[in-house]
Amino acid sequence: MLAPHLSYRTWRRSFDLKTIKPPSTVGRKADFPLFCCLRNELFRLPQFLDYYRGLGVQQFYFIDNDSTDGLQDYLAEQEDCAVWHTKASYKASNFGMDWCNYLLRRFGAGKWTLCVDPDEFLIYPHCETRSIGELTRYMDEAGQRSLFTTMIDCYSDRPIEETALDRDTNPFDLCPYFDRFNFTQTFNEKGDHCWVQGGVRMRKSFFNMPFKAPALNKVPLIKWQKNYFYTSSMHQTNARNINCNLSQSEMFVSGCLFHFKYVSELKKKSEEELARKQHYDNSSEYSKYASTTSEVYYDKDISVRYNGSKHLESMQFMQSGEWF
Amino acid sequence: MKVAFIVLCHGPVDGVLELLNLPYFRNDAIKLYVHYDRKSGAKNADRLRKETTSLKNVVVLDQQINCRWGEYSLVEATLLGLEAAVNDSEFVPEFCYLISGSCFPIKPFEALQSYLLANLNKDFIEAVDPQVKQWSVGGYETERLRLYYPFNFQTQRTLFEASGAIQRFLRISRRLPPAINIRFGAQWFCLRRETARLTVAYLRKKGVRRFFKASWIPDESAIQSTVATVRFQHENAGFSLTYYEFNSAGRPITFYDDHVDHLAKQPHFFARKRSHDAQKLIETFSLQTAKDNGERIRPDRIYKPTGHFRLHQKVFASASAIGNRPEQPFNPLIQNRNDYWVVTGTSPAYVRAVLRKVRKWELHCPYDYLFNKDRLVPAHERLELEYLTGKDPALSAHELSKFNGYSQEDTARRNYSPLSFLFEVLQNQDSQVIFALDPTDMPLIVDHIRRDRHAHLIAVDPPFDNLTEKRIFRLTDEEAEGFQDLRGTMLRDAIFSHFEKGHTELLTAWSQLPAVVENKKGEKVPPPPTLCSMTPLAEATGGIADCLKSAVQEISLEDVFSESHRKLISNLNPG
Repeated sequence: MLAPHLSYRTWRRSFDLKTIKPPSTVGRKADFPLFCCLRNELFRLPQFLDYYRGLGVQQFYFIDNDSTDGLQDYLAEQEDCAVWHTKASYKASNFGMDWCNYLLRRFGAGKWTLCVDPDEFLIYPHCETRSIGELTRYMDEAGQRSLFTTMIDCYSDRPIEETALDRDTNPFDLCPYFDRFNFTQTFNEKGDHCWVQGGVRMRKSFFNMPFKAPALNKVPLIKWQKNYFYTSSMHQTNARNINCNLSQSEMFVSGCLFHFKYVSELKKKSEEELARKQHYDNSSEYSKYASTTSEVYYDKDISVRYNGSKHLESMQFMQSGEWF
Repeated sequence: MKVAFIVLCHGPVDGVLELLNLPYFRNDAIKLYVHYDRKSGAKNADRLRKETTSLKNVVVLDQQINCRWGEYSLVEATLLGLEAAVNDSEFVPEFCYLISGSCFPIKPFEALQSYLLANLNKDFIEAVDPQVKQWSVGGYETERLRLYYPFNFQTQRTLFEASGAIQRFLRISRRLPPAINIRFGAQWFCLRRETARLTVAYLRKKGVRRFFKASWIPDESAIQSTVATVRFQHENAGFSLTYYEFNSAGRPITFYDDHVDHLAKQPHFFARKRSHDAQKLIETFSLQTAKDNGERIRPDRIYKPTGHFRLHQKVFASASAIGNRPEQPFNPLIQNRNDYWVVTGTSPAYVRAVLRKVRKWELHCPYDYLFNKDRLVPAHERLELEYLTGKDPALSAHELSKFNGYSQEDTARRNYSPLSFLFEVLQNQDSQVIFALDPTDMPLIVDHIRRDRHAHLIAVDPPFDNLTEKRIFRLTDEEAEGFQDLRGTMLRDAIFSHFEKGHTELLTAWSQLPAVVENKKGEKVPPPPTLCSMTPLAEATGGIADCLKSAVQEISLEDVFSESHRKLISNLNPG
């Protein structure tokens, strides 16, 4: 599992980052640090911070990829947020993963670390009543070293352009619907890695070429080791046995990541990203969103409203193993 | 009724104080003897002593043992507590109750008092005779006492395993102390004062002490065996007053805020373990403890807890979720509760004709071959039908080609995940779902339907008993053309060999299962039974079967089959 090329990449990209605000001495010792790379997504942050603080996250590490919306001013006021800034290319740093890997290695080794995008909200069994500390303590006891999650794309019952997300709107209230069908999983030959596709993106954008639909499996919560690296977004790491570990034991738990992408800001972002061409496959996914934001993703037969973590468990999007 | 609580605790002082400060323990009939693990540090111990000076009935023991899991030190710490309780001249308890720092009360103290008052001549300690029943979950049991354990399980795992293997090879079996009754059980006891005194005295004997000191996990056998030795069997209730559950790895499970209802139902007085973040849990029960005065909860019978947790274990061990193992993949159809009807038959053309008839009556809207390998045509002649009846001329050809929202466009999606697609079809339609299926269609679907108890298979065949005649109607028009020149036995043999090569016989294809299949562990086992039932149309009952029956009566073979098919039938029996 030694990965000299990844170590080198991470080290080289670390020079992109400029420390704006280092973590406090107390923050450095926090048990569940969260790492996040973002650009012009300040409108999501207050809800994002509230949600994860509620789960028990005590320290946030942000990488600001040259935002122009006053992100740094906002984060300067937050005591539990550390900030790095960079103007370098998002694409050249493996879509931000090299920067995250660097911070994870420096501040996360030996801890349970969360690495998510600003539009992703983690759900795990009983997350309404149990903190992330209780989850990780259970996983430690069960011998589980990472949390496998399925990403669920959420949307509202109105057209995207009318779905405005601002600082005071809880995304779970604004976009409570998701697809109940269409989820598929493919395993590699050895059966140790699984690839999940489906949801609304498969239904709307990839119905005639489902094999090209984006991957929905992520591993956002990992007991980080010095020699771990995310290789392909948060979908995969270089350590195989933590990518998809549900098959290793019946005691293991899994979770879901709620993805609140389909809001009115998507159009603006799509236009910008199409010009920058910094995202996966030259931002090809965004070309669709730039043109068709009047589309309604809600379908009365296919969409279901989110109704607590038990609901997701009963639909088998995640499982609680032996966690009683 | 006075009760002495012996509290074994370690770790952060705040957690311990949270327990000791509970209103439950602010009672004159209670005294707490706290053993604080030496590993947790002298600083913490000093802080604990300082913070508990204001609590009158809390005694923090001066002597601190370095406790290690699985070793005799835990028994030693318990004995220290018992000794302090028994020798206390100011406070004379009737019972000594052992709890840990992560235990918490789930019933008011008055309930415990009245229960003990009714059982004054009983001890409460779990004591299972290993000759009668195995107590521990996994791992060895009598070997815990028969071998020597000089190494720690957690810190010296390799040496631990090696020494066990060597001793097993040498057939080492230590001699038990004379006249001891070996028992196993959880250590969370509630003993009478006299039993506690006898226990301490017995375990302080040199031979007994040395014996248990060299054994593994003596906290689950030493005191249990002693009580069984110094007291008559009928004097021990044989169960614990503390509620706990072990998971499949043999560790006690943790309780959280959402377990309030579950724990309130348990007929025990304490429970373990609680999560240290579970504020609401401990608050709820301490509030109940404080206000509950007149109401007496008296469990008539305390039993080994099972039920809820075991059910949870069973359900989730068999569930298939996204990301689960490859041989037991995520199957959305597990959630399906709707019955559905599958029409099958030797002749696809005939089945299509029957379903078309049914569709015209508009009672049901059956799909065509939904899982045809090459293409998805939900209803074959929808387009033609709409034009004939002249309905909605405004509809575009594209919309008309859709049937219940499905069209040729969905083929890629369906082929990519057939089970998800079937689930979607079943959930999307309000009325009963009927579709046609051929055994040569997608193997995944055929295999699933064969094992689905919600599937009802109905065989619709042209009215021929003869096998060869049935087979002729399975031929497509082009294939039938090719056999035109053959007659009699020649034709019979040609058709027989044609189907030998390609399709298998319909009815056997449905019931054909492999003789052995591999299960999760890779063992070869007999296959699961076929759950769906295949009924010929004549024997089928119910509304859908009646509908199909009347459709069959209205169909003449001339409409369905071409001239060439009919010619083959006449060629079969020339003259």
